[in-house]
Amino acid sequence: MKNRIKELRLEKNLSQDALAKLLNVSRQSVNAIETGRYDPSLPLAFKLGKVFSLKIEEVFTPE
Amino acid sequence: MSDRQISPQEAENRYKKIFFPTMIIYAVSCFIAPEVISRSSLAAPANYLIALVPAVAVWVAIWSQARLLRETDEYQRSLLADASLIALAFTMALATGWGFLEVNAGAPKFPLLMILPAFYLFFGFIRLFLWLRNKEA
Repeated sequence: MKNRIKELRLEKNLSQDALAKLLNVSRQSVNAIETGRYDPSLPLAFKLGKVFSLKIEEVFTPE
Repeated sequence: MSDRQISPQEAENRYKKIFFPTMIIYAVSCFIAPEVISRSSLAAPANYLIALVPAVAVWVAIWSQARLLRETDEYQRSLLADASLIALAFTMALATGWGFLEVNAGAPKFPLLMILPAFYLFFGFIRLFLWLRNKEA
């Protein structure tokens, strides 16, 4: 899956560490999701959408 | 799993606080338990209890790993699960291969006690490999 997390995170002026804290995951997890090495579960994808006030499909798109 | 309250860092710290001391107890008791048994005149049930001290340390270490798997975040959990399964596969392959060498070719006995160190040796290398592979760009 492709995602816009890095772009959205930078728009919000959040570091990977800050976003990780908001999601209650490790910074490595945020990095792995951002770089496409790991696709998050549905609950985590919903959490990400909530952080950016967007729908899941606005954050993630199928490749 | 999704109702986890503690952070992945706290989970890792909780794991380290239990895992490493138990591994030290395991290593030390592996040498001390046989000495105590050979020098004491304790009856069989007491000897059994002393003999099991290293095993109890291992059981606690295994429990701490299971707790880490439950408490850490989903990405770390997937890495840990991958490393555990691959290490288990290597350990079973080694044990099975050596078992046939013992039975069919008279190779020296491989002590069952060495299964755990073999597993953790594989586990450590695989975690290192996965960490290097997934290292951030």
